[in-house]
Amino acid sequence: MNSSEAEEIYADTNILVSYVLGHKDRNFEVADELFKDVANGKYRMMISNFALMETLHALRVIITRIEYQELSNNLSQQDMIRIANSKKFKDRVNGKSMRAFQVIIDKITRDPKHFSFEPDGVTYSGDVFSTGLQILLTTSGLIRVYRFRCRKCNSYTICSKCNTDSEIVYKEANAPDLTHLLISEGLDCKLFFTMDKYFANIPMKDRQVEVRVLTK
Amino acid sequence: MTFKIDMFPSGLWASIREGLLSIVFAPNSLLKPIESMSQSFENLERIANLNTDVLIKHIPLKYMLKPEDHYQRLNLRLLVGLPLISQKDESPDNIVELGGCVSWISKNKIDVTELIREIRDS
Repeated sequence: MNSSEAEEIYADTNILVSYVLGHKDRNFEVADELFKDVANGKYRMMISNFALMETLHALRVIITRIEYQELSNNLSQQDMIRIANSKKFKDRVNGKSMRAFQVIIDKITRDPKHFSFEPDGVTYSGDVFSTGLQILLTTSGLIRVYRFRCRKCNSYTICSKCNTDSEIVYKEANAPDLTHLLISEGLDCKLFFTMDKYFANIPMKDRQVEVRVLTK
Repeated sequence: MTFKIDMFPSGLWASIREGLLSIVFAPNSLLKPIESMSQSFENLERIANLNTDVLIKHIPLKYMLKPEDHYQRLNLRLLVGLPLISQKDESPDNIVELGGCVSWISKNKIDVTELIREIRDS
């Protein structure tokens, strides 16, 4: 099958970032399956500027968290502020994330057979956001309970003041998710792939793009 | 240390003197080929500018470079500070090389889907 016969698909940011992280991501095998289909010519992957913005931001968040986790224990808030404001720390986060982003851009831009890019000058109507609002008005999310975790060592923790170990949170596909979905429609993609299970709650009635939630 | 004319060998000084004289008082016959060459260059430059003007005004850059999304790809590379590429630098195998290409950023396992969910929820 050649690239002109391949079906144009939109991949959510989580799929792209998972694939570039390889086995370091818990769901890499799932993302890898989709990329195999793209490599075999079944699909051609549309890369939107919105997804690239989110990819860069995700890389910066990941690297900041890793740098934080690698700091020694028992640091005071004053120590942390001094480290966070230091040029060395900022340069390390910015340098690593930019290098990683450049590697990704270099590889995808050299492969026009499997990747396509948002056309120059494409415009999105304001309807994108009114449609997004309509979708959101028809959905209701899930209310979940999560245990508190220390972001440094990932251990479960308890609040020393109120002695609570969990929080109740509202979970739902929201504005950024729906913006991805509506961009994919604007780019004439027929399939939208994601690994985020909350997309499954979005009503698909009259939608041009079909959402496929990939799971293990 | 100062140089005096009598420090140079007589033959060398004579050559230098003649060269300087020919530059300052060059006969017309010597300058003519240089003048005509410079006119040719000016004409070529005019034609090149004219063609470039026509191309820029009437043909969008993306059609000048290559069909499909070559322009977007070059634009993206410029944005992140990567060198431009030509068709011979393209590789359909890059999709395979993309897998795990930035695994060096982390020592431990990460759940990217959960992390991006957190980013979108915040």
